[in-house]
Amino acid sequence: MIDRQVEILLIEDNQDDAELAIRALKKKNLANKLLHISDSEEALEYLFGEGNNTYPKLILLDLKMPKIDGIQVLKRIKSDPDKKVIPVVMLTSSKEEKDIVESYNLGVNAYIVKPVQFDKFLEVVDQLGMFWLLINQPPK
Amino acid sequence: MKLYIDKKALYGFVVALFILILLGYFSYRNNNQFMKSRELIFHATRVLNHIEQTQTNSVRVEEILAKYILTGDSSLLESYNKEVKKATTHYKSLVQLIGEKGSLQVKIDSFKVVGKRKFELHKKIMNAYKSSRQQAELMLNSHENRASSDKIALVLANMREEENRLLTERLKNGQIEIKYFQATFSVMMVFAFLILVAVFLVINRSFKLRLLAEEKASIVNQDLESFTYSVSHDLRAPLRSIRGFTEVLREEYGPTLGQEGNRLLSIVIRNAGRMGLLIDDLLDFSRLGRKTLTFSKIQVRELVTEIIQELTVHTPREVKWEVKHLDTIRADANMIRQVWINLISNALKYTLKVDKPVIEIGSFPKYGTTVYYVKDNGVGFDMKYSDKLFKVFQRLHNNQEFEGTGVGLALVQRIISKHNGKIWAEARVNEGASFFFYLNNPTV
Repeated sequence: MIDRQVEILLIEDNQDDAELAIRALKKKNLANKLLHISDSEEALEYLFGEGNNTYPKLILLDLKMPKIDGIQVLKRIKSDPDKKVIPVVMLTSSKEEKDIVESYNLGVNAYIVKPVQFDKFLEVVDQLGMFWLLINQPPK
Repeated sequence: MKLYIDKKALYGFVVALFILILLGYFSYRNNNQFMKSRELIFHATRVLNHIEQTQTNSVRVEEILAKYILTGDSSLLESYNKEVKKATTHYKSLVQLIGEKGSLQVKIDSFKVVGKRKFELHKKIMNAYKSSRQQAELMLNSHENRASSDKIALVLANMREEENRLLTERLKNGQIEIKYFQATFSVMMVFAFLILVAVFLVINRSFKLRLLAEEKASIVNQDLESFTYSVSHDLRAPLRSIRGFTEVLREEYGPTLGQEGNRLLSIVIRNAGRMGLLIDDLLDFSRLGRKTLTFSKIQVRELVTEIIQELTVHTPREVKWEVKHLDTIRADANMIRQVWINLISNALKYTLKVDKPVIEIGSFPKYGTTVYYVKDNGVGFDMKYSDKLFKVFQRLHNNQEFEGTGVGLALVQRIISKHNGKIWAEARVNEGASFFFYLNNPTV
């Protein structure tokens, strides 16, 4: 489970949405260092479990999840003295203002409204200036 | 003035008001009566006092005369005159007080007769005294003189009795009046009090009903909000999958599906996209209802010019723009911007198939405010469908003719009615359409 190679951590409970996101990232050769966790509890265990010292370069976090929702996961990450530096991009289904405001209050780095057209996902990642962060890696 | 108050409360209020006015009048009248009866009582006591004094004086006159006859002391004559004068004064006062009416009038007249008779007797006695003291003494003690004194006393006693009777009667009447007044006053007070309590209850109930209605409305609003939320989240997710995976299918298996297969996939993709637009527009529309307005002064001309530029920069077309004078407006900047965007892009859309499109934008004063308009020479519409124009998802053209979701004008109308304004349209088929609107807020 512990993988120091993980650069993108995708926390998303909807398998179909996750698949589309992974496909989009694959097109840019970004999916090989991606880990998808579909359960938020598991994701927290992955990030904060005993002996775990993982620092993904980017966390893509779905807002609406059963049990522990995205906001709670975000709170946990941003209140951790070490892990709060990891950029978190919230994935939301709508522009409903209260979600956005709430996320920003907690120090979210960006949010993406999941587009119906999933190709736009990469454009959005691009626009957010996250691309360089992921691409500018020395090849292994 | 338009009345919003419950009818029952209104009637109760009117009746209570009427009773209060009645109470006021009643109190005033009663007060007058009371004053009058007090005056009468005072009058009676004064009359009684004068009768008493007259009686005392007449007795004293008799005594002084007797003393004088006995002693011959001429200084007593002075006292005699003084007492007579006093008695006369009281008598005159009595005449004045009693006036020319009432049962005392007869008695005072008879007093006058007996008084005069007495006076004449005294004169005779005094004349007799000059020649013979004995004679005078005899006259003084004579039956005639005594009877005269008794008559005076009797008349005065009669008068006193009569006046006392009047006084008791008046006192009694006064008391009855007071009792009557108190009873009526109390009954009216209680009645007014009960009505006011009833009015209070009715008003209270209507307030309660209003609060309940408000509560209900707020619950409905909350329901709507959570509905909106679930629409935005839950409806979009499957749609995303439909569109996303159809695109994946076309990309990865497109070559093996052939031309018809690809055409069908395009239809699925296009419709999924359209459904996404419909959901977005619907969300915009419902979100608008919950927004509060932030008013500011807006330079409409600048705004319109800016919007025209934005709308035409990516799709250059030959359109003749006629932007006339435009008054400034006080409105919510974001919302009024949406209004202009929708109206102008509609004008652009529906002039698409016209040879020489002309779009005129302007404002003019009317209805004590400013009416703004957007006029085009596009396809227009039949006025008999004008009632459908501003309804959600209602369209007068199909999607093949002109694209759209049917939310734009509904949104515009909702914004304008949120500003207490009005929007309407005039159009003819193939001769263009004009949209007019005003906000109730006066232009700055």
